[in-house]
Amino acid sequence: MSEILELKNISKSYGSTTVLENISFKINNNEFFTILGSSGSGKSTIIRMIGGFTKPSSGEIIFANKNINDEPIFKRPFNTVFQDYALFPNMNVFDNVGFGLKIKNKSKEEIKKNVLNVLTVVGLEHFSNRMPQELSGGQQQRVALARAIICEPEIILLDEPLGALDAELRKQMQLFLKEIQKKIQISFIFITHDQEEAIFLSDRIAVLNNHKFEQIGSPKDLYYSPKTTYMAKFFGECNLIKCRVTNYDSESIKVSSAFGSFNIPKNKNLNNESEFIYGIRPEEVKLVRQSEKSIKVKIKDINFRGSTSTINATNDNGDSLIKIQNISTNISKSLSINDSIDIEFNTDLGSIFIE
Amino acid sequence: MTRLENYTKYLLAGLTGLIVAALYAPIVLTIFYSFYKSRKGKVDWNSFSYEPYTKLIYERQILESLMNSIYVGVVTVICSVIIGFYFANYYHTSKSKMKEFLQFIIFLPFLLPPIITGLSLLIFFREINLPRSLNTVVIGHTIFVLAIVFKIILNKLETLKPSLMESAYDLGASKWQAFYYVLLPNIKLSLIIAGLLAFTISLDETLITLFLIGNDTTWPIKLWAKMRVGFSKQVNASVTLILILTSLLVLLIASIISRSEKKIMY
Repeated sequence: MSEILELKNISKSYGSTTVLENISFKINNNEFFTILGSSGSGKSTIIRMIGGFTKPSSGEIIFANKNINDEPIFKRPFNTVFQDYALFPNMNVFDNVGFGLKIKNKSKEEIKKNVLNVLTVVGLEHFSNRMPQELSGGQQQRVALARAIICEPEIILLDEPLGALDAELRKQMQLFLKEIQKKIQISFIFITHDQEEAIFLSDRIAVLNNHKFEQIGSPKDLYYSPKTTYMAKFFGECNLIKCRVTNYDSESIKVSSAFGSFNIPKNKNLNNESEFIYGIRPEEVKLVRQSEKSIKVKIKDINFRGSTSTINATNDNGDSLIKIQNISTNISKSLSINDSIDIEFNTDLGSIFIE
Repeated sequence: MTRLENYTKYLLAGLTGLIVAALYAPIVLTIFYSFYKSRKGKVDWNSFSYEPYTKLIYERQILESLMNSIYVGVVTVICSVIIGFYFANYYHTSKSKMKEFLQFIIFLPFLLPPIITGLSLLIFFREINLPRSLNTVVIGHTIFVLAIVFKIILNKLETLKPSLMESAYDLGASKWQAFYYVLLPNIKLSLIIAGLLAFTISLDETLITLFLIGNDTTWPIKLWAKMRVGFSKQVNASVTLILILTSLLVLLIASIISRSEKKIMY
């Protein structure tokens, strides 16, 4: 995979308000790249800068080894799908989609051929005479996408395109977007605040928090190897346990915590006496029969959900809480509140956060 | 419904009728007396004739003044819509703080008493040695109606989503192409409405015109001059004709507005 776009140390502020601080990332060819962040986190600003609608306060946008900071909007080989679709209300679907080609002075036959082609790709071949106002939200979305695809851009920028759709339609459009991106082989930079959507769609996700990228990586990377406690709690749930190393030897590391001692695999970043936060997801905590390695906790409450149940348990003092999600087993069948249970961490999948 | 409520209802209806009558009776009478003669307050019912209208054709002065008014109106429309659009677009897109000042300047001539506007323009034209003519009247009218034209176009621009123009640029359009293919078709109606309103205002503007007109004369000024030497049926006739013309224009504006509203509802 080759890189086609790079953002290097981009910062943006409006007056004294900082929106983005030192953002850097690269976009690969044919990649579905998602920028994930809560509303107001500045995620739209990033693609508005790539599209050319605003300029970064500092930093470089590099496309094909060339700084394009000052390139005007209409010269950039990117097209945007706006959140409100921004279809031209004075043109029908055909003219909306053909607009980019008309501007490039293509012949009428060529425009017609291409428009019908792209409309077929997005499944709107029978709608070319409709006006935008006569289409549903999802259909307008498809027109907006067709309008971008037809220009054959290097990257399509999608600014929360599914934000205005209801849940059902949203699911359909997610599938549609994923399939179409594979089909047309153009890189997508996609903006959303919806974690599930991001995980489902993306090859890579960049999580924006406090004007900075918290982590960039594949959905699996972000889920299984979060780099910060924020990231650990961002996707799904995660138990965060304060620990201290008590014994560091060549084989394993023994740590103590509010729940007692347990062993974790070797880690270069730790040494004797170092303190850290251990992250373990509820589904990586196993119910076991008592053994040397197991930890004893007391059940506080049980949420029985058939095949999976979650258990909230406390340590002996009752001052620390741990969440356990288990596939219902023979052991869990007979559990009730205030029972003592034995648990073990799947330490291969635990994360270590040094603060 | 109680009896009292019934009485109140009729009373209000009667009152409304009286007010409407008081407002519109003079206009109806003007039209009426363009067809009938009266003597000592009594209507001569046998005197119906189109004569004042046919005679109007021979009233060269009235017709000439009417043509002048139409000329002034048309040129005013062209100037005010172009300048009004330019300022409205600037106001809408600019982030400069000067734009509030610009709006103030545009509204000033419209809010000031016309006598002040007319007089200051007259003094200004004399200072720069611009002889008074229909063209100075056009300048005066343009300055006067600019506020309304500006406001109508600005209102329309503010209803457009910013992403509309952005998406045009995004698809490769230059400023001119975006203006011609996207902005213009979407604000067309507001330009037409602004133009029609500018025309009707210009058509009967008298006070500013009075200061700025040279040897020519516009229609309202001609009528005013005619009234001083006594009433003539031709005055009634021309008033009736203009009344019909402006009513049609107003109807046209109203129908355009309601049509565009329906389009938005859709």
